[in-house]
Amino acid sequence: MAVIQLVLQGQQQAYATLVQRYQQYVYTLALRYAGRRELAEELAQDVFLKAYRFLADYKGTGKFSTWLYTIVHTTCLSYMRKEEKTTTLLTHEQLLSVADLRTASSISRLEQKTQNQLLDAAIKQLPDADGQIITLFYMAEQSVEEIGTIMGLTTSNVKVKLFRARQKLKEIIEHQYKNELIK
Amino acid sequence: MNTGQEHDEEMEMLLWDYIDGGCNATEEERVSQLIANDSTWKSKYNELLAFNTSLTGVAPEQPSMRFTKDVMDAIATTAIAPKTKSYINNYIVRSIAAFFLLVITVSLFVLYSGVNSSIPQLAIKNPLKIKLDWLSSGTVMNFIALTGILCLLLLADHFIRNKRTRAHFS
Repeated sequence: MAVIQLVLQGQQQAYATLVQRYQQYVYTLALRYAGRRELAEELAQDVFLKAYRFLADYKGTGKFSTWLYTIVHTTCLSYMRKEEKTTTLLTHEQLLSVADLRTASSISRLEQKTQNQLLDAAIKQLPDADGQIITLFYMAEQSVEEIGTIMGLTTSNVKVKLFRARQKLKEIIEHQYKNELIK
Repeated sequence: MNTGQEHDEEMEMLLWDYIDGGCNATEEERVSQLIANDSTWKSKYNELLAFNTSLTGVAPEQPSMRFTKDVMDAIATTAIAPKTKSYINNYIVRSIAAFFLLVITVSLFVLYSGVNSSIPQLAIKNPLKIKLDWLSSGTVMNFIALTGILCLLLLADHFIRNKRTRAHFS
């Protein structure tokens, strides 16, 4: 909050502190939608620009990260609408076959198959919205209520989606990496 | 989904709630007892807990080294906008909303009076005894009808947009 006050008082350089603190999470969330690093960086940059422009509207009642991730969500949604990308609900078999296609070459390029790298690769196989929920919950450490605020969903809706995302993730991991995960 | 699968799913949902700290006191006590006394529950709990622990260790992605500099360069020529409520007057917004509601109400009332006059057998007495003759002029009727249609279209657009956004991520 102190940093935000400094920025609002005209100390523009103080904003770099906020950028450095949240850039990884904003970038990771954007990457879940963009699928490409360059595009994810553009989206993430756009998010920080919007956050700066509308910083005066941050009321300070909730966490700054929740407010920031809401901007990430709406920015990525706008991008997807423009690109006419749709989130398709995959059946169990389709999900596993998509995971097969996407990871067949990427896994062979991994120099060291650590557990975290394999999990990260598995998260990338999830549909966009599921990947976002997993990222918000585990990496960005947002609560179920905060995720509901960010994504415009009720708490019970978020719980169900989080449960389904975890199920899908477990299936991908069990299907693809059962011989490689350290138990 | 058969009963066995439903039971497994219910058990998993409850265990995830327990792990996330989302259970109330009664549920928490019940799940603790089940984990302590039932080998199936205990085994599933350990499995989900291990999975949960592994997920918490996943690191976020890193943007390029010059990301912060790029952002700071972009905001150098940008000004912070004033607070939204400083230039949006809620009184004006409420007045516009009240006007729209009045137009819709008058449109419906005129329609209701029109039905009355065309089917005298079904005529219902006008309880307010309001003289509506002046409303039967073509210009006024057209204006009211068009405004009412516009209001309904705006509401429909808002509803469909919200529904589409929700459906997109359901």
